[in-house]
Amino acid sequence: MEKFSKKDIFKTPEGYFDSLSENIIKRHEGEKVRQISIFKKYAAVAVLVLGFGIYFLNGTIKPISFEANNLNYEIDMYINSDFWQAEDILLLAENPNDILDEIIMAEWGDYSWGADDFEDDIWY
Amino acid sequence: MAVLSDKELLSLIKNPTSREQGFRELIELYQRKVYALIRKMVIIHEDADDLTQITFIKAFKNIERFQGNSSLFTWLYRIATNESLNFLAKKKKRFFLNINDHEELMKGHIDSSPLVDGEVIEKKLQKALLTLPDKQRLVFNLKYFEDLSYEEMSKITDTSVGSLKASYHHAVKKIENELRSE
Repeated sequence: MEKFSKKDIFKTPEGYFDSLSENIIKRHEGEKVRQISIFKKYAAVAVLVLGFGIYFLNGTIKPISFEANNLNYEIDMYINSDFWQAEDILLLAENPNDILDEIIMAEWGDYSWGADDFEDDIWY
Repeated sequence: MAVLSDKELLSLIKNPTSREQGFRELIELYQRKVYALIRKMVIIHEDADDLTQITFIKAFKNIERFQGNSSLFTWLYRIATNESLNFLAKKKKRFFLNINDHEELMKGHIDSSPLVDGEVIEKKLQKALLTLPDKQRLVFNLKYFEDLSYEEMSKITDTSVGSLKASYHHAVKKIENELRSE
């Protein structure tokens, strides 16, 4: 076997490696934004449901006026400051599996899962 | 530019103020080797590009789980090889009813792609490698082209040194027979 050249015959487009790190960083940031927006959507719904629930439990039916901007601001603050973690939002949600399904579809929508996909990896 | 050690890289990445800088340094240091390993497995540049990006993103997301029992290089290679093997398995399952169809398509790609540039004998070797099962092809690539030790390969593939030696030995025999028969 040693008589065969070990030269790498697989080439890349011009400048490929010059921009690869930037592309990776942008893709990673894009995935984070997508995850956060999915969580925010469900967090907003969860907060509304909790809010209505508290008022009904108190036996008072009042017209509730939430200013949409204030609610979004508060949710942003909780999530961006890491006061709310992903697990907190999932606990608030009525259907946490729906949130997880949506994230999985967004990230892995093109994959078809088989039994061997759930094999544990050992990370060194 | 001075090459950073694993300890220095991890220190940069784990510090919130220098996290992105550390990530960039990690990519700059290992991007060519990771890409080369993946490309030899999946053959097509666009697929290798996608998997290379996924490899580094996964490393970044899981950096807190890295225990330092191996080098960052070994750990990255571990992710890259898993991604490559999973990708090939899914691709063949999804698009190709006959396993030989995928092999023939990749052989055609080696012959016709402008991003594959080698002598006739070098392309012949790559085409002969496609006749091996993917895991055996991986073992061959790690040993022959990457020149890794069996101990390093064992950490990457989570396979015993003995199994790797046997696998490589069989791969060499098959390749030699394949090349002789052409």
